[in-house]
Amino acid sequence: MLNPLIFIHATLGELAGLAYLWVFVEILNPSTERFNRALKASLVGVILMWSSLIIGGYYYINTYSPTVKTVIANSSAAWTQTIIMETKEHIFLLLPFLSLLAHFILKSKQKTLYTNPKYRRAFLGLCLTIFTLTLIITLMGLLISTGYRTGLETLNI
Amino acid sequence: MKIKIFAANLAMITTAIFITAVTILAEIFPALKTQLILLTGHHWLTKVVLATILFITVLAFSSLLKIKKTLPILKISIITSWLSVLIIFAFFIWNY
Repeated sequence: MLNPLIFIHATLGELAGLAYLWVFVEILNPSTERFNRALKASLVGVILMWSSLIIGGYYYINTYSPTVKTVIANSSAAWTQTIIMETKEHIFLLLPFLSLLAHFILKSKQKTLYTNPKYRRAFLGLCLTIFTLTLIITLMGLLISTGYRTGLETLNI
Repeated sequence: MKIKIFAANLAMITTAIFITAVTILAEIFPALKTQLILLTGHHWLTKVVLATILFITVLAFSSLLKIKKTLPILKISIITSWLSVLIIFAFFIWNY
């Protein structure tokens, strides 16, 4: 049976990534209105990212580690656990802090973002980093789910 | 409360390096992984807690620095994050 926590964790993470894509679009050509929207989107992004970490972490510790991991590790798709999941569970730790950094910059560097194109480009790079990493992590999640299904087929469940 | 952006970037860089280092070292040295498990009951949870404490601590202490130029360190933050991703991924491929 599908655990709802996976769905919630993934949805929160993907929405967080989209929040930073939204920030990216707003800051491409900032105005007062666009900046205010970007700030709100960024705050939502921070909340979603940390929520995804907490829910994903709860699922990982209480369900994935004791049961799912073993099923995958004993299947022909063991690499999805040993490489993909191990990578995913650690690189995901960067995202909540990156989202905080982006939000702090929006709160403290409004004038610089307006007047300094180089700084704005670097900040856009930060937003794209958050969005791209979210996409990568989502794809990793899909691979891991496939690995679990492979493991269940091996067990004939 | 206005956050010093140089401090926030330094905290991000430090945290990224910490996450990379503790991830790799815990795989290479099982005794370290055991210690991480003993702290909170799960090695991953300990990494989250320690990373958060580190971020806040570096942010707080480096806020005392009066550095206004923040573009170079912002670029370093982004590069460090991507390097962390690549190093962790490469390590687990190598470890497999």
